[in-house]
Amino acid sequence: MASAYHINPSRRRTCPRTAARVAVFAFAALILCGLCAPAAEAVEAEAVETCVPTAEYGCVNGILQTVGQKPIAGVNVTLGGTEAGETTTADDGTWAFKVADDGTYTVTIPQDVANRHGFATNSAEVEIVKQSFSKQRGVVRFDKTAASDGTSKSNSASTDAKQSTSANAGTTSAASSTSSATWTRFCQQLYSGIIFGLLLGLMAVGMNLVYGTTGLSSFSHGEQVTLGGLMAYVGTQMLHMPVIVSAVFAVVIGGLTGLLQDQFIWGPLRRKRVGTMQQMIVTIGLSMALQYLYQFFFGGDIKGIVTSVPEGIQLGPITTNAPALICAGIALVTIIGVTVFLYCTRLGRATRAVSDNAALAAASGINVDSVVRIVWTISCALAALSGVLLGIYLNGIAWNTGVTLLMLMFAAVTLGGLGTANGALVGALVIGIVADVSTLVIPSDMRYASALAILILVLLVRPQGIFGKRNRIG
Amino acid sequence: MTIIANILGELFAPTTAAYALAAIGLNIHFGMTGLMNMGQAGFMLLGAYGFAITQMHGANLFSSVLFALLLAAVYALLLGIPTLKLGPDYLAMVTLAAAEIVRIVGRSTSMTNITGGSAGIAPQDFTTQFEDLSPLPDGTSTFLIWTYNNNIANSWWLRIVAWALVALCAFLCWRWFRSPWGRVLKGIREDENAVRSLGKSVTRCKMQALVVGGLFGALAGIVFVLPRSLNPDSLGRTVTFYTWTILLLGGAATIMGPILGSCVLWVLLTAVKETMRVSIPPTVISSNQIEALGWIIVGVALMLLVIFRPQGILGNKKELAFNG
Amino acid sequence: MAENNKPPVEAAQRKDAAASPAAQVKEPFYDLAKWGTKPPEGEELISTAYGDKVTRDLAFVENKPGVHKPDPILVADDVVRRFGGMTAVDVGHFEIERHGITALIGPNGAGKTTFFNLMTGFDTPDTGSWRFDGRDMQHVNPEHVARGGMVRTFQLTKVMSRLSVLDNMLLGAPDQPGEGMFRSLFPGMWRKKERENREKAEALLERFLLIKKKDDFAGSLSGGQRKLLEMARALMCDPKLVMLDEPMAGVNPALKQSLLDHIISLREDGTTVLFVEHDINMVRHIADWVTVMAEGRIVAEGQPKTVMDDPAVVDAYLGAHADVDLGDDAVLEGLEEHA
Repeated sequence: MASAYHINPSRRRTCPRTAARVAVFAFAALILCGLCAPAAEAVEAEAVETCVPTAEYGCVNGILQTVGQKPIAGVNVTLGGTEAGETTTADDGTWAFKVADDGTYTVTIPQDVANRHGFATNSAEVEIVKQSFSKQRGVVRFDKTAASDGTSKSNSASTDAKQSTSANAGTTSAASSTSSATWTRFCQQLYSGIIFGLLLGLMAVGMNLVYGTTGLSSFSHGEQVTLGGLMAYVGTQMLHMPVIVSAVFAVVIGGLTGLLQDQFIWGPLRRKRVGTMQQMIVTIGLSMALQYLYQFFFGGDIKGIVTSVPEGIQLGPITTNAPALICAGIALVTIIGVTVFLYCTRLGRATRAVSDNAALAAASGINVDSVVRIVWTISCALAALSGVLLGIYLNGIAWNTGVTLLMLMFAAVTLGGLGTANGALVGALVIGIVADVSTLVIPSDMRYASALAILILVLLVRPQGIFGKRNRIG
Repeated sequence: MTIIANILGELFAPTTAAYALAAIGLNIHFGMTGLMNMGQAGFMLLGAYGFAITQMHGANLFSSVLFALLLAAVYALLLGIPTLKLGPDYLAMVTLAAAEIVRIVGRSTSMTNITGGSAGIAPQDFTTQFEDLSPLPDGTSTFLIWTYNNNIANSWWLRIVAWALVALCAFLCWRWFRSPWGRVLKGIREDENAVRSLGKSVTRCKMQALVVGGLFGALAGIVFVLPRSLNPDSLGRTVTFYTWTILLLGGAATIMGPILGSCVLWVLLTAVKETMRVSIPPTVISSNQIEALGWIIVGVALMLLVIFRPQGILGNKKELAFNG
Repeated sequence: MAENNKPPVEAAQRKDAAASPAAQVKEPFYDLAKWGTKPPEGEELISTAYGDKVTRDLAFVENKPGVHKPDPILVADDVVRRFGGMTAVDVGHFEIERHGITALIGPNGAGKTTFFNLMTGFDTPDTGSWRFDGRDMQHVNPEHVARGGMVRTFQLTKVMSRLSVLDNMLLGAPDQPGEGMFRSLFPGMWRKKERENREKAEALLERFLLIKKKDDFAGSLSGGQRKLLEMARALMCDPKLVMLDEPMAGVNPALKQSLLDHIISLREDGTTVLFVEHDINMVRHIADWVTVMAEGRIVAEGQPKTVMDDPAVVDAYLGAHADVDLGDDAVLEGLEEHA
């Protein structure tokens, strides 16, 4: 799932009062899962060429094409439901409506067109919730026969929605400043890359600590990140606690899972002298089980931790908002804290000793097992913290957010040098910046591909990573 | 009755065959050579794309398959050159990353003209030639309790071809296992520096193993997409993890392990899901949740398997493919 | 061991032929391992065709570091390897005499294993060149070094634990056509060679007292047996130069004796031996030439007996082990008597 983790902050700018009202509504809509359609009179929806969802407007759009993917031009498309409108498809088959109100919309094309092209249906329903990450854009395609089926419709709509939000990250800012567009975009992308890199660094540091002390590449680390976000969601939206308390709650739960995991899974495996390769596959199994456990309990949609929309801040060419800055700040402070812990405390030095040579550390009186247990706890707590921050920064967290980022964490860790303490942060910054800045040249839904390509290129030149050391053979 | 037919039908379903093929390929990587390929789905997706896209542009069946294999071989070379001289962790991460790259690029909207973007390629665009090749008459046939179409989509014809491919690959694998080449690969699995010190070209052998396993993966990809449409998201990371579960379930470093593993996994998984669908009303657990539950079972099974019976059903505990 | 009391016929022939070393090369191997430490009555322990020649040749060589030798098989010049700020190896000039047994000794961290790694292509030096049997070996990768006839063993024994002992041996055999990916599919192309290799492997296993274990996984062997297996495996390709990295480490005294015999018998097969050893007493009984390394450099070279008196050796090597009694020959008494 390539999903959008960078929403252009400018989109979040809105009048605070409306924001609060909309937020409350969005929350209700989430809970009731669209059962309540507001009884509003039919207003005129605006037919536009292309539509980008903003805080004020949602989008209903699509491409009308044959099953063989040939565009069908000049067909009347009718919008009904909360707002009404009519448009004709363009030469490339695209059509779009800009809608102002949340609610359920029905899109209809003439029956004879549907018959001629063998579509299963000539109308489809979409639900628009402007403040929801996944429902601000509804995409309707008739060439996919599955569109009438309830479950797969919501799947495909949410997939498309994510794709489109990631795509608009660049386009809106380009539209807002047409003249010095490239420079502004570059700054904006660099900035969001750095913030993303810091959050990624926070995840990767924990993963690297575990790798350093146990030699295990943990595939379930992504699920620990998700867990943090979901627990914060439980805290704010289900238990109605303040954000900070929820965050602490999430971090404590995260740390606790780390402790329990080490107690009941990794500790016994180490004592059984199970190889790290084998343990790595155990983490894969754990990752799969946890992921779908989340889906089982929380469903497939994106959960917002905070539903209010923050006010935008303009810093030179960069548009941002306070939560993003605070998240980045917390991430940076935490990473520095971990470094200080590693180099200036007794326990930290013990941790580094275990990383260096576990047998020697054990021989010199360090209790390796308890050090590893603490590392697991810290690592999972850090992952949970980063999950909370990520959820706030991105406006939501889903059951598969962590696993989507797992690859990038691995890339960051490998890039920095496996098992090196500070390498992960540098690697993560490189990955974050490359991923975001590369959208200036390549389509934005390929941004993660560029980050992973960088990983492979660096390995070609410097196999041990940026900070790694080479070992002697024999 | 239909439920039992459905469950037992998984025994020889084309998808089961596809997974068996992929697992045989992975067995050459991991079971024989000790290469941690965490991106078998990448080989499968690339093979499927290579086949479907050339078919869409009207190439004949044989050259399409050849092109798919070529694509997978080149991909294996590209992955192998930077990583095979490094440790196993690097290969794992690079294959994982590369498989993701293939999928991300394939599903990108800017590639819609070539790969069909995230919607993928519809079956009628690439399965016609394969279906036309069938010697079977049109219509459906019933064998014992199973009724399938002879030639179209999830057909008898596809089953025959898929399992013939599995048999061929298993035969090749068997030959290689017992040959001096296989011995060198096993030596590399154990200690590549020792093998190197004996004058064997370790990097060449690892590369050959990576390519051969990848080719089997590409074949698996073709078989995988033939009964359905080619959707890049259906050949993601999870497929790789399924393949690993199958390999470890059946037993790494055995010939029949991957095939047995695939059959057992799919029959059991379908049995569990179907039973739940019938016995639990959808108001208690929705069909999406049953799907999720299936995954949870696979995940937990993988964990338990690796911890308690790492040699799988058929494996020899002493010849475990894991480095201790 | 059952044959201990039957004096083999070849022994007599070998003694006769001792004057013409060239004629010896093709002769069947005379099994010293079976013979053990006590030869049958009326026999002397060793036929010293190559041993005598090497001793004769080296007698005139000056005992100083980096000296030239009459018939070198390996010549290294200015080989330097640095790890970070530390210089692990800095060898100015070094030669190994053909058909000789050369011991490389030195304290821990002297750079012996690193030097092995450099010579065999497992590591790349910062500067330096070296020639093996007249061939330039710079930038040659390990597999080609081995195929060229320079085979090594490892300090930490590397056996393929989950392959049988016999498979381990067969991996050592060179030129097996079945090791090609495509040819391996047609057993007709490699069956014959495989049979020959198997015979050779079984003969070697017999000689190294491992024949009973041939179908066991190599992982089930003891540490000493693994050392033996690794050595036997290295001999599968009839190397010109065997480099043994601490062949005696972790081997019990009884097996040590037999290993020493194996090393001596290698020389009589025409194989040159270079081995690393910590125990200076072991060295002096079997080595024709001793090279001492300390802190990456060669600090002394010479005949075993004279090297021990070299102040540089006492300083560099024994300085760190002042409590070691050089005269303690208890372990080697048996060999001493016959040498």
